[in-house]
Amino acid sequence: MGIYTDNIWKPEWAWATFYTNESQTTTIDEASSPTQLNRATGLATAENIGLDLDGATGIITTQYSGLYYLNVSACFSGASGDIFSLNFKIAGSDVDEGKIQWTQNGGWHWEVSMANIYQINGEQEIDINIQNLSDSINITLLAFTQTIIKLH
Amino acid sequence: MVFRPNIYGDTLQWIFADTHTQQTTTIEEASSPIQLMRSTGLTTGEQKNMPIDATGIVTCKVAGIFMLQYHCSFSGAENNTFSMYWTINSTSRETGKTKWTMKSGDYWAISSQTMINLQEGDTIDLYIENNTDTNDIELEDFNQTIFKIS
Repeated sequence: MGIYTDNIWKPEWAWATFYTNESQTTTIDEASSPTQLNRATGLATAENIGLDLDGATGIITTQYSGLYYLNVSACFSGASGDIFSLNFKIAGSDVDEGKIQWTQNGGWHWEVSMANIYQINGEQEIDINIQNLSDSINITLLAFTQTIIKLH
Repeated sequence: MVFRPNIYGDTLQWIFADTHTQQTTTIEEASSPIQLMRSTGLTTGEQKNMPIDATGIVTCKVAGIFMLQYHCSFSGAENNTFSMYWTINSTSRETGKTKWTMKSGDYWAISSQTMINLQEGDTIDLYIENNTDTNDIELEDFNQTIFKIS
């Protein structure tokens, strides 16, 4: 007679899409200083397995170690003529991999995306920082979608 | 029976390559695609079974369906219209093509995503063209993500 044991581990899959289409402003206190992108208002989960979302900040915590594909597509307005950069912050550190910069020119909406592949351990945080490289004018997020897939 | 060593290990393939060093692609002729200059400072953060050469050309080692994606920032050549192409085995593809006009300001963020069926030995490159004149273009940020889906 065998002993029945639940498969408590399951496959270590992880993927998710989080999004918000509610306008919200990130306050820039200082030029060229990375600031957490404000994206919590209206933040919803389209799909999620194996990742933990902090709905108050948008910070995602991994459950499993592995190689992750990270993608962000966002739409901004405001601060015409200012140069901004967007980057991932992983396990508390700003990373260059995937970093993108743009000039917020005339016109209301500006679409920006970034992605990378990154080795992330379990229980580490994935965050997003933005900085205004020109001055301390705020920027408004209009639409935001973040997709994460554990590749391996 | 012929013994064939599994020289590639498994069939997992991916690569993430990036550079954040400013570099110029010289445009010699309008509307003539040429290789995007991205070799200076090019590093490979993650890589499995996808070799990359000094110019940024990536080689497929095992056939399959791949997702290809880039995110770039450019500056220069205000009011010039540019196009960028995924270029497989030196042939530019229409899938994933991007086209934009450089306006005032330093940086212009461009991205592309597509899926392409690749065969063993296929090379993946990126070509850019100036559709307006022969002004050069400056690459400021380059991030390229490729992985095998199936």
